[in-house]
Amino acid sequence: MLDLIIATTTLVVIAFLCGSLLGYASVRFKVEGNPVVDQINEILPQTQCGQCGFPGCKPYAEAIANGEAINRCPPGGEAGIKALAELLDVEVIELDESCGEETLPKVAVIREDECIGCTKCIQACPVDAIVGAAKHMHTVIEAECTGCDLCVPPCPVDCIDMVEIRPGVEEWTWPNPANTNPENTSPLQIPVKHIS
Amino acid sequence: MKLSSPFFHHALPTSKVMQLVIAALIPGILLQVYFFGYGVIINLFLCGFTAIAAEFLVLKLRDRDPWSTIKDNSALLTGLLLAVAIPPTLPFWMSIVGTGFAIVFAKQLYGGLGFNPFNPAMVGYVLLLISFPVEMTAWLPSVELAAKTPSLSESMQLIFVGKTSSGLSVNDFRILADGYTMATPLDHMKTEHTLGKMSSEIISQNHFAANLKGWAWVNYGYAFGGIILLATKTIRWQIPASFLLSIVVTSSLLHWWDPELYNPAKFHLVTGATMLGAFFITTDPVSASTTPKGRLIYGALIGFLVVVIRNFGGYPEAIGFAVLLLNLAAPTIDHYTKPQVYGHQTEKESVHD
Amino acid sequence: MYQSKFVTLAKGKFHGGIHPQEFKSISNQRPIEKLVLSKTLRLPLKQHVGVQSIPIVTVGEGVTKGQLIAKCGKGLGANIHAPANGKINKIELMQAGHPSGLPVPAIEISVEDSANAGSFTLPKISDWRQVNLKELISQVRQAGIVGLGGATFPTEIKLKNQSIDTLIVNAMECEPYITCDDRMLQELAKEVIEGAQISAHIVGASDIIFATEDNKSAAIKALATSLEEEKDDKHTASMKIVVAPTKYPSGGEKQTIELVTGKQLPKGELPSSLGLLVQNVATLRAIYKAVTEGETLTERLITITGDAISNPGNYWLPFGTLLSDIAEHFEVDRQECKKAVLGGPMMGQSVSDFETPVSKSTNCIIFNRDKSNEKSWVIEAKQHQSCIRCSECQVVCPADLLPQQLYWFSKSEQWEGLEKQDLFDCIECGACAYVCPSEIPLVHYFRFGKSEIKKIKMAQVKSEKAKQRFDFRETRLARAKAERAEKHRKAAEARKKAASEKSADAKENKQAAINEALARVKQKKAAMSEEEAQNNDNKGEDV
Repeated sequence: MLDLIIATTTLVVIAFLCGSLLGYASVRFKVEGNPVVDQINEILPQTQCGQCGFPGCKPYAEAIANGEAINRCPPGGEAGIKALAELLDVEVIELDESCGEETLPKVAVIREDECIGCTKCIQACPVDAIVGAAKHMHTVIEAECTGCDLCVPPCPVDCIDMVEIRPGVEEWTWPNPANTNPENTSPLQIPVKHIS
Repeated sequence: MKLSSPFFHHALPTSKVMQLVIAALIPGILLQVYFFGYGVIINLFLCGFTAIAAEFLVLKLRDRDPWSTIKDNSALLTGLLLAVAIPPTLPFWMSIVGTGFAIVFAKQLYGGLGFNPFNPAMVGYVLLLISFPVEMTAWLPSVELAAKTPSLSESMQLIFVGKTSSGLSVNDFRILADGYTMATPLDHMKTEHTLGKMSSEIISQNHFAANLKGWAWVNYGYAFGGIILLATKTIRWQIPASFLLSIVVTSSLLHWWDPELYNPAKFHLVTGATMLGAFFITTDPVSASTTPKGRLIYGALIGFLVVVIRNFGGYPEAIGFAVLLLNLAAPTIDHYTKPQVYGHQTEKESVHD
Repeated sequence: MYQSKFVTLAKGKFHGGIHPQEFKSISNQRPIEKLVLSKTLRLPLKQHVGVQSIPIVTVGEGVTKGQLIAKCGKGLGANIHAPANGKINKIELMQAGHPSGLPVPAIEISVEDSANAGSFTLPKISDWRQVNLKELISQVRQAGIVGLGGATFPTEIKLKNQSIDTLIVNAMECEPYITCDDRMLQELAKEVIEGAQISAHIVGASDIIFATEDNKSAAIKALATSLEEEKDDKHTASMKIVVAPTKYPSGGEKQTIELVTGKQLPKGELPSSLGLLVQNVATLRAIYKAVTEGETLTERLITITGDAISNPGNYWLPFGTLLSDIAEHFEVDRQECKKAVLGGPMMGQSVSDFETPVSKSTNCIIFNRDKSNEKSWVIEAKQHQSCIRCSECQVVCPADLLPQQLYWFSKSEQWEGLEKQDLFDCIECGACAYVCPSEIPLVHYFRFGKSEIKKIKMAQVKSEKAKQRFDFRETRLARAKAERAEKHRKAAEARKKAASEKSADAKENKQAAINEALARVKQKKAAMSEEEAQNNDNKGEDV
């Protein structure tokens, strides 16, 4: 009987000590990391396009943190899904096609002579990249435009085009040597932007 | 297309490097054949062929073009290295299992040449040594000592059937004229020590010295090949130098501590696979450390482990285990021995000033 | 080697390096000649480090040789001048040998030989010691001079440094095939020396060191002889020649500094941090020409060499000369030689479109047969083999990097790891790829890694900006909404208050009105009764 008591007491004491140690450690060595929402938001491309069904990247980041699928961001594309999967330690899944397709980065361009100055696109732009005033022509600040498409539907005269950004000489990057096929002899297959 | 410079290239291709290493094995192989019989040649063919066949099969399964890979001669080299490391009369199926395992598991399943973390030949060797310790230590005595040596056809019979047509087994060939069964010097030393004999006593045994001479010559042969590799800069000096130096230092210290229990450096340098290990096994670039300092550490640690395992371990020969252990450590060694990049040292200095 | 009190051996040495076959004797035996070949010249607007230059001419306009046609853009840049008399043909995107194969903005001039046109020059500064330093720097700037060793960094910026004590003249010319600096020193040593003195004068350097390799004995002799004959005691900076053993890439700026001074250039620092200014031979000669003769930079000395041409040598060629014209003049068989290399074989660039022009960075053009007899020549990519981690690349790396590790990270696209391996310290010299037994295009992998990392960083900057703008907009909208809500609330309150006040008043008014009315009624009644009474009285009286 005494043995039993001793054994039980010992175990309880050990359990208590270990528990306190763990508890102490969790308080003492608490990691002050980025909250997960911010980390997710860092990965999202910040186009604020709403293709995911949420009104911006931050809300989608919050939704992901609460269990929403990670494959609802077409601008982020495959690379974005991979990064999210790595961060959240979940499996890589394919892009949800109901949200849209991964395309080349785009920029909005207003055909300025057709613009009637209704300010509707200015209100729609999530990053304030369109300037103009009522009854005056509007224009897109190209450097600020995220290519989210949100300004296109509100335009009553359909004068906004989404133009793909073709890599110019400045944006050009060296191709992956692992993908360069020796048979493919011409370096001129890169799309060329013609300006007259 | 070739978009990027340089447009100049001058280097021995990988396949030629492997060829050169194979060529450098020849002096050692010839001496080994002379001292230990034709079984060595049969093993070379057996293991070489098995290695190529295994590589071919796996590449076919992996849907790669087998011939372009086999042409790099790396599989052949793995087979040949294993062939010279195993006893000359090892049953053929063991050689096949060892070589096949080396190529399929240790090399191809990791992704093929360049991706294997372990030295394939040593993985095959250690697998055999652990699985078949008796057969793997059943070396024939050196030719000058043996009562009878197997002819080419007898060797084949021993390897493929287990007995010669006259009914002799491998063990019959291991018996000396005085009825004494001979093992390798390392093995012999270990057994005699457990019987309480002193090193000086063992060394003074007549047949032991004669047997050691055969092993020493084989080691000289591989060392000669190794010097050719160094001279042609096929391998760099760091690993062999630190490996041999470490063996000398460690064994000398132990010998100084207790000369009767631990053998001197000159014994360790010429027995077993020391020279084969120094120039052909540890220098396998894929699984070794790749930084200059790292290679010194890598070689030194293998040398240290070899002496320790030979003296204190359960197995008489230690190169295989030591190499595999350090293969594991190689990435870590590389990480901590990254050379000082141009301009970085001076930057640090200026910070301290 | 030539014995002279001016010649000493280099005291430093650098890690790694290779000894490729030199092929220099192909081109350095023939005296320099001047060539004018093209009927049209094509001048890219960016032939230098920095921003694109701005054209100041219009299509159809006539230009004279030496005239400014595109001025330095905002920030770092350089002027561009007309290399010949002629007319501006077009200003648009044209093929000009960018590694991407993409067209770049350029000016095309059709050459017209008009004898009377003469040429345009800047004012000559005959006694450069007497003028203001600013004036000299401005002269260099106006002449459009950039580093002609291949780096094309605007020279004027380097000359603005004031904390310089030693000018190193980089005459290493370590790449195989190239001999233009070698030949220039052999024939024009005096002009180079003068240019060096001008540079040293501008930056206040007291020493000039000509750094070269021991395979250029003719150049060393010519230089040393010129120094010995130097009678001009006005020269303030002392001069000497430092000779390093021939090893590629000793001409890399960092390697030259290590060879000459024995010190490494600290990471991220410019040579001026060690009190050094490094200039190429051809740059100094261009400075001499610009200062003393007012010549703008419109041509350069180019090594034209290779086993597919007739008269390999060094030639003065105006910028903008097209490769096709050069190929024609040198009788290149286009069937055998489909690609030319601009620059050296180690760091140059292969060009298959021969409509590419010569620019300020072109120091050499190699026309080798595609299937050259020289085994070292590899112009077509092959399927490379796996890396066996032999570390030969590490042995030769002049930056002391681990190319085998860089390759591993770059191939698996682990950008963070790649940066930690100090990718950006790679000078792309190509020594690693030269010795690789598996023929891995290592430099290509590193360039790929560098450009991908830069792209990612740019995307991060953009997304960060978008995030801030979005957050800002959100707060602005929220604030606007809150303000609106507040306004509405206040308005409502005001209305309510007004309304309640009004109703209270109304009640009071009503009561008052009622009271009034009642009072009136009462009064009336009272009055009436009085009247009645009076009436009655009156009635009575009347009765």
